Amino acid sequence: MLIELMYKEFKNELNITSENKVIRFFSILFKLIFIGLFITLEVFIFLSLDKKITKYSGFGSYDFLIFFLFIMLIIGIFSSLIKARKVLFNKLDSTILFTLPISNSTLVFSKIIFIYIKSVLLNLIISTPLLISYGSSRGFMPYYYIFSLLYPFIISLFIIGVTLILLVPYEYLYKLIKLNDYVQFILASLLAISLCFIYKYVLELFLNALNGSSIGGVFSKKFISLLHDNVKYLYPINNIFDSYIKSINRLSNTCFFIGGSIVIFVIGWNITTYYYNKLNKNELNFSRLNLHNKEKEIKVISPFKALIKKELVLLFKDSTNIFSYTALLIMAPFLSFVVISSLNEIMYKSLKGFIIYFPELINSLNICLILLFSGVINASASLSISREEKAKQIIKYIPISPIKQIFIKILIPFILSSASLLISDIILVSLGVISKTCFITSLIIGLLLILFTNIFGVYSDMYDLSNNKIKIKSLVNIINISYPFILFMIEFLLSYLKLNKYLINVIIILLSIILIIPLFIKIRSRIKKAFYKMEVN
Amino acid sequence: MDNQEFKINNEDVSELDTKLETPIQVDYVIEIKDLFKSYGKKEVLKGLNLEVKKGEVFGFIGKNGIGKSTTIDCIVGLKDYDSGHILICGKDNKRDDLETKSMIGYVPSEPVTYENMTGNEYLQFIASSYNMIQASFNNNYNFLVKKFNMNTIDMNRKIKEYSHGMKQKICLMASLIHNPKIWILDEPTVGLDIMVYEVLLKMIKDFASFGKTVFVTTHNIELVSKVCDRVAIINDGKVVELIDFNKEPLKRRDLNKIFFKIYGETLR
Repeated sequence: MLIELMYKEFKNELNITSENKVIRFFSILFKLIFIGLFITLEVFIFLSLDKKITKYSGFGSYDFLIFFLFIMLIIGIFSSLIKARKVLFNKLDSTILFTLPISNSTLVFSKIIFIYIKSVLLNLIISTPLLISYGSSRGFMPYYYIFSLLYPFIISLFIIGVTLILLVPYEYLYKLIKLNDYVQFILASLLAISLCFIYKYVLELFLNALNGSSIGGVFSKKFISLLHDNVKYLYPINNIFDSYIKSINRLSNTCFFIGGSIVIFVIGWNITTYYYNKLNKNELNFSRLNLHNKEKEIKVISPFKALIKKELVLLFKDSTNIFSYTALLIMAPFLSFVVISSLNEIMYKSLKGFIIYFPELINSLNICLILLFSGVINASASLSISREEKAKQIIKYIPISPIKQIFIKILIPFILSSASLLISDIILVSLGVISKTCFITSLIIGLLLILFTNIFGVYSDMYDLSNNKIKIKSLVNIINISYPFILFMIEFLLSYLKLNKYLINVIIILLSIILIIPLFIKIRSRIKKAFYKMEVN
Repeated sequence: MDNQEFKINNEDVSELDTKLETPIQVDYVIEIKDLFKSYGKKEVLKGLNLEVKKGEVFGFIGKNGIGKSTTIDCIVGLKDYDSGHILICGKDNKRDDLETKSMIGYVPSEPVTYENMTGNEYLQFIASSYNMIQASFNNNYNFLVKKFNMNTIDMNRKIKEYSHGMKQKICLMASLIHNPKIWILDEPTVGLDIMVYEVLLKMIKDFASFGKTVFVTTHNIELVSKVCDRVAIINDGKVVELIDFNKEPLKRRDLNKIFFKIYGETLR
């Protein structure tokens, strides 16, 4: 039974729906190729950094390895926590499973083993290649490589143990946060900003690995000595590697770590088994804590205002949209600044030769990146019919004209995305990251792209919901990703031809205007027709 | 729960504000003529004809997947149909779609709302969509909140926290908040507790007694035989049996048998 239960979890996880063997084969093949490429890139960066750091400090690389594996441990705990919550506290899943003659401990154990295997695989892909490259560049003894292969299995036991202990408090916290829209929004924004800074850090790391001249900003001598002073506190990674690489208290450290992991795992397993039953059979209900019994008059507003309010509720009160769009809007200015300023720096340093041939290279790249960020973020909001989910029915039966409804569906994301683009552009130009020409061009084309995406997004959404066999919704993302690159290529060519920079920008603005015009031909009748043809039940 | 709370008097539905209503001049409030609808190659409705009179409770029954919900979806405008006509109070529901929609109150088979809104916010949205005036809204709101036994705390909670039955109640309330001329219910009894079920039955009767029309599809034969004036049974995309309980009252009792006979199955 345990095997069948685990098989169910893996089947759900892999989400292999296609019956076609060729499609399944290629799907698996692409995943394997992606993993292979990831490992190659990871090893390349690690070895480049290892070489650099070793030049400056004998112990720096070891400290960095411990630090990296410790970060992986934390990421592993967080990702397992998110996965474990989804797998263990899934109402639909437990509704089915509780009716089956299977004991709770078997159910929980099958799910824990599934999470454990996932954690092992993640570490085999990320940690083991690093350990092997570290050992091979130093000619370690063969037992070290066996340890490198066993490491994911040992560390995952610890990760899953800690995850299971934290799982129940996390579930309570999650349910509490879900009740408060403002807390959700603030958390999503903070998370988005933190991700921006992490992204900046990783980007600098990558650029340092590519840049052969010095340690660079992230790996300063100060940082290396700070890391060395603190690495002894990075339990339990520090203890394991001290015993296997430095041969310090090998037996006691191993016994202590494996024993400790088993104890933590058993405690976590027992807590989870107890609460799995309790939380899945009893609804956690905090809602009455923050509700008040206030009677206030509900004002009837105009249909126009009601539709605007509804769109804002969909964008700001739905956790999916908060994380996939609203928080990203706030992140866009940070992300644009971080990426564009870092890239500009490296471009000036490394591609001076190119700039002689392509004077507008940096400007073109900046425009491309600004459009890419703003376009991709806006694309997630443009499918505003899909955003309604089951409530698509409501927009069909309320007596408000389709044109008015669709206009508001286009207007709200257009205003929000345009504001985000404008702020990003103002930050970039005021901090001197981009030129004034780049500011104006990216703003005009960005606004056109946002407008196009929102109109085309809503149209394609409706088109796909009618009886048409061909689905066009995926074009929204393809256009938003490819169009900035197409413009970049055009600018690149025009720059090579040494055209005046203002003329180049005018050409790409005009091109964008020409391309968007066909969208407005008979727009009212086309939207109306698509609205009526749309089938929503 | 106190059953007295659900006691209904004949004045109940009249409490819904009717000041702005215009009298209906046509014989049939819903007229469906030669309705065809297909999904790809599968033809679901094959020339369906139906007439629903003003002030009657009309039942529309049939087996699963036979086209009941498709018919309702075409009436309320959720689905486009291939050919034919649907007239609501004499108005074509394609040509005068906004006018016809404003005459209808619709309850979907599965409760569909904006789940991140509170009950109050959702009713406000629906009322505003129907362009209601404040006084009518206040009057209808108070009546419906009392009728469906929803308290202030419940109405201030997000709909996603509601049980299935409460979501169904909100849908029923939203369908009546603008006091429609025609109340269309698609499987309205699923998930309702016995007390709300009784309230619903009484409301259907009262609604019709004030000259309004109810069109209901359901698997619940008991509901149909209890409240409907006429019932149509659909098979193979057409109405195959139309029973007028006022003319043939005994058929109320035999509705089950008739149903099984039409589908060529025996009732054990």
